[in-house]
Amino acid sequence: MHNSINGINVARQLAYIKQKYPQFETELSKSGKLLLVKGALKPTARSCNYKFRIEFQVGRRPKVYIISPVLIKNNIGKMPPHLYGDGSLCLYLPRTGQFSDGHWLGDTILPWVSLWLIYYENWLVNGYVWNGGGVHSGKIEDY
Amino acid sequence: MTTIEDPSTQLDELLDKMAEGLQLDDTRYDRMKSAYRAVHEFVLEDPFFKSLVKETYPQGSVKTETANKPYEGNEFDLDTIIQLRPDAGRFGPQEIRKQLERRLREPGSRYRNSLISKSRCVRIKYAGDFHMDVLAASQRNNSCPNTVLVLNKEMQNVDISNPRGHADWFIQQANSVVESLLEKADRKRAIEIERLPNDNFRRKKPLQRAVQLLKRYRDIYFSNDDTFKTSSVILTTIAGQYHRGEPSIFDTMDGIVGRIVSNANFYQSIPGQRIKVLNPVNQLEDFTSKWDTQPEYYNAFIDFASHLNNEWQKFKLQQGVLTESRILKGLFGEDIYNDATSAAMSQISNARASKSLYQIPASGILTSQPVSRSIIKPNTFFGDNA
Repeated sequence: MHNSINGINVARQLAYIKQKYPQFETELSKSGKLLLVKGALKPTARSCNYKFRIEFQVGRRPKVYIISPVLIKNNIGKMPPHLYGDGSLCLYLPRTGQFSDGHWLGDTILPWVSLWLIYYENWLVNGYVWNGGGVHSGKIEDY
Repeated sequence: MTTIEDPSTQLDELLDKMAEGLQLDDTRYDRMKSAYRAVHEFVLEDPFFKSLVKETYPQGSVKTETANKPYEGNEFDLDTIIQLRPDAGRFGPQEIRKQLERRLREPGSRYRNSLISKSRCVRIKYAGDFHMDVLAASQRNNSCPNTVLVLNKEMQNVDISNPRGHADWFIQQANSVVESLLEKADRKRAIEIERLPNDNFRRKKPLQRAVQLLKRYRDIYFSNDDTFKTSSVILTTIAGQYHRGEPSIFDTMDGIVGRIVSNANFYQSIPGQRIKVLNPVNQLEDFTSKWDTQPEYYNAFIDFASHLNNEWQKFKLQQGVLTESRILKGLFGEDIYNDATSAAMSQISNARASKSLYQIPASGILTSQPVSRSIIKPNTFFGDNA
């Protein structure tokens, strides 16, 4: 299987996203190794549309960035929780099987973006409390 | 978790939850109920009242199901009536009032040290945060079962009052909406998940929710200076009169405050004219008669309604959750907003935990309805940038 290690190659990931999310822009790099996905999602009917970009290569974690509106910091200038240092979203716990090359981005990462956004919006309006659970400083928090 | 694919339904769900958070809790409600029964039983045991009492009942917001928890240090006002039979009219309203005070003040009465004599009633103050207004009055005649004659000490006259009729009128106005937006969403949801709606679950009508929210906004608006604060009976009555059967809480509020502002603008061009709020069951009674002698009350009411109207129009722009949260917190209080959104987030998290949370691929909206949706697979948010 081209560009995959025991999993789904990027061309098939792209085809699946095009089928499930036809409104998104998808692009494969010239080398055929890097998949780019651009689009917009809103977690609730009254939310604004969040433009995002996903960069994915087989064998690496998908990088998901919120492009606009820019993510807002809390009252003491800190970014919302569950972001990597490069600003991409931390959507799953690595090495636990929640996501691997055998999973469809369209069935995992993309739905989790909506989930992350709904907790982010709640964090913004509810006193900067993250109610979505997750692993924080090595500790698991329930949602 | 609910299906909230429509922005209007989502906003109404939030407004409904906020109003629910304003309601009296069961403990407080039960405490007031037993206090009310005790007072009425005490009065009924008196030889004067024993043979004259026809019935006793609560009136006001408890009756119209628009009661709110008291706001910051205010007391909840429980209005009750002891209605005497028409033949008690031979004693006259003054004597009936005198007898009520005599009974409540007599030696051995547990109420004697907590009474305040008001213009139309006797107020009993309770430890904590509520007081009870007790009004004893005879029925006007046999053909008007809900009309009573009440002594008005301040005005030095007798009011013809029909509190039960007023409450019935309000409920009728509220029920002019056969199926509200949220009731429709409930029904749709029940069909989609092939489950019968819960018989015990009954939503309040948009008008009742709008009045609860109006009153809380009034409490906050006048919290710094309540000299010219608009009374609950005026707000409740004008809301009922200006309601046009809009099926959503948002549109109900929008319609009420929009009509207030528009009518106020209209009357402004006619010297000596103003909005009048007449008692719908007794058109001779103008609840706003004070607005003539003290126009500051009228001006304060119009300013209050205009501010609400301006804020309300902003929702039509759909500027996102953050902007809307600021408006709602400003109007109705941060605690009520936070409690309502926490409850909504708990529903999301419960649906997620029970693997019944889905994403609609076309929009990204999360929902609990599985039809052609994408299930949210279990995940754990990772990383710590906070």
